[in-house]
Amino acid sequence: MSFREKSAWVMAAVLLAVGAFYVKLVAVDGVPPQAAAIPFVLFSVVLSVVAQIVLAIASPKEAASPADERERLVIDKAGHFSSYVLAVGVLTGLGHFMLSADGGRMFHIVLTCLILSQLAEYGAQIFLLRRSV
Amino acid sequence: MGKRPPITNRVRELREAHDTMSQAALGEAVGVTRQTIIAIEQGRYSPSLETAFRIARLFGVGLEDVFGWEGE
Repeated sequence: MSFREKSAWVMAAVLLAVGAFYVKLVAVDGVPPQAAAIPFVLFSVVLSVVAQIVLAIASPKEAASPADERERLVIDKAGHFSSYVLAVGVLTGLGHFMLSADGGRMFHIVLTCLILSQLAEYGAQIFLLRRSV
Repeated sequence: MGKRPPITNRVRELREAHDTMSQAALGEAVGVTRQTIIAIEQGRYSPSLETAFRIARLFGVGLEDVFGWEGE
């Protein structure tokens, strides 16, 4: 498994864990969006940095190498795909806000779709890296 | 699965003819990862023109001795 694929798996796992934490805060504990977003962002950043450091220690040479031509193509295609997921989420959130004027729910929809779009990006990277491009 | 590129190659054959050079060593020599060399050898990825030239020059042959066009 290439370093990029390992990185995509690890980042997807981190995002899944932090996303589940955010959903628990909002849906189970009833925490308002503003309060739930701060720990979500903090945990996302800290866990992502820790995960990347661990990966870099495990494969220092690969971590120091820039993405090659095939990996850059994969990253571009996966980013393009995930942009559609994010766009659908943003439009859904805006549409919901127009009908309900509920800013809190719009925040949840947009943030949830941001998480889903990142998961879609990592998933697409893994798929394309295995398939080649 | 995506459509395979219509380009054939003799990378594996040339690599084995050069003291069985490893995929990782070839990748390092031409600036791509081992996984990209594997994908090229399996015909799942067509390298850029620059990488194609680098591979051909490394083996001391012409571009068309390494890569060929398949089909129409």
